[in-house]
Amino acid sequence: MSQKDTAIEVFDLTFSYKNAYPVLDALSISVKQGEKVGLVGPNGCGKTTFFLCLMGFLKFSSGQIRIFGREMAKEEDFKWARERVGLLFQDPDDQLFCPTVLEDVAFGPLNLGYKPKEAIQIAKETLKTLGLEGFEDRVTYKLSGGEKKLISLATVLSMQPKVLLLDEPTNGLDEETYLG
Amino acid sequence: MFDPDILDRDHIILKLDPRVKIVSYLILASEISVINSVTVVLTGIIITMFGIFILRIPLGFFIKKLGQINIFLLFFWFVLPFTYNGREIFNFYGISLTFEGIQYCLLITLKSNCILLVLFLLIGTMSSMDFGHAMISMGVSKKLTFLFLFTWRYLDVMWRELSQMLRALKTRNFEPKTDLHTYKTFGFLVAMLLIRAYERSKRIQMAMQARGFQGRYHSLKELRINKRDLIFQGIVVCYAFILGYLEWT
Repeated sequence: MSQKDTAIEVFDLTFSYKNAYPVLDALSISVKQGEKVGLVGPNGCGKTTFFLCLMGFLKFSSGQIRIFGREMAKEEDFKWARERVGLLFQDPDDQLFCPTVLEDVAFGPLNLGYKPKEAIQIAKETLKTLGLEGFEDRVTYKLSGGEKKLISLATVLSMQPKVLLLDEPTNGLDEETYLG
Repeated sequence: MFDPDILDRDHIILKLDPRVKIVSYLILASEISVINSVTVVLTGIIITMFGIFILRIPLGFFIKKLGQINIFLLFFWFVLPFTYNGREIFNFYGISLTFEGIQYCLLITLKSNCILLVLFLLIGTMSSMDFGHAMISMGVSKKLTFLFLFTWRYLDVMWRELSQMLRALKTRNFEPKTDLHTYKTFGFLVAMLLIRAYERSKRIQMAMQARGFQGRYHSLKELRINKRDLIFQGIVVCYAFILGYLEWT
């Protein structure tokens, strides 16, 4: 397998929370660019934990993670990876922390170093592609549950990530939005 | 407090630099709080109302909030006029109503209302984000500003979590009584709220870092003071000067 077209490679990843049996036990997985993979499992089997390990938020005890061929060893590596990998959290209230939708969607691009004007442009385009025009000035905490979910997707997409990690993305969405 | 949605999006008061508004508020509020004459405070209220009228801000924006706070001030009226030394107006079984007491109460009420009018007019018409940006650019510590912004954003979530838990209690037939079970349950409730807030704060931090946050906060709006802000600041200084002149000469 050539290194170039692999997005995520994980070898023997082991992780356990304090004083407990390992949640992830020697997990190995490889995801190519453009590939869609679904992780299915019962509650508490470690789906979210796996994502948090991939993003470098949890320190795994052994194993290796490679993202676009680069080995994830230090915080610096993960910072590099976070510019390329977008993570959508389960609870949109964790993701949306700015008062207005536009500010929240523009937050990522600003961190990537875009100027305010460019960030606003990117945010507006992202909202448009998701069919969320007119939400720009809405107050994030006054949105409905489903709307929050869609806006949090926009906040991740606005960083134009090469890989998207979606944690339970269809929770709380109506059928039409889900299928669309 | 922060409620700018009620106005048109291009209303002039929304376009003023938030720093100018904060400074204006600080000047006026500190001046009004040391004034000791009822007529001067009344003049202040009239000038402020005139400003509100010229800026065409709907009065409903103020009345509801003022009403709520004046209920609180009502308690002063029940106590102060009867406990203040001075010229007696009438005596009822040893409790005397004094002229000075009434005057003092009136002064407190008018002063509070005047400061609140200025507060709603200047601070109430900016978004919490604008307030935060202004705080940072005026040199308030970043930690304090973040603390403020996040508290504002997550008050609603905390309130929702609390009501969810209360609802969960009610559906299982919990009725508060004066017993250990009730105290224990409320203890759990508060503890749970704290733990949930802590857990959520960790998740928010992760979500922010996942989007490249590295401790520096970028703002969408550039704060710039222009002619309009200077004119407004000038008007406020004149207003403050008029009140000061009336009070201290």
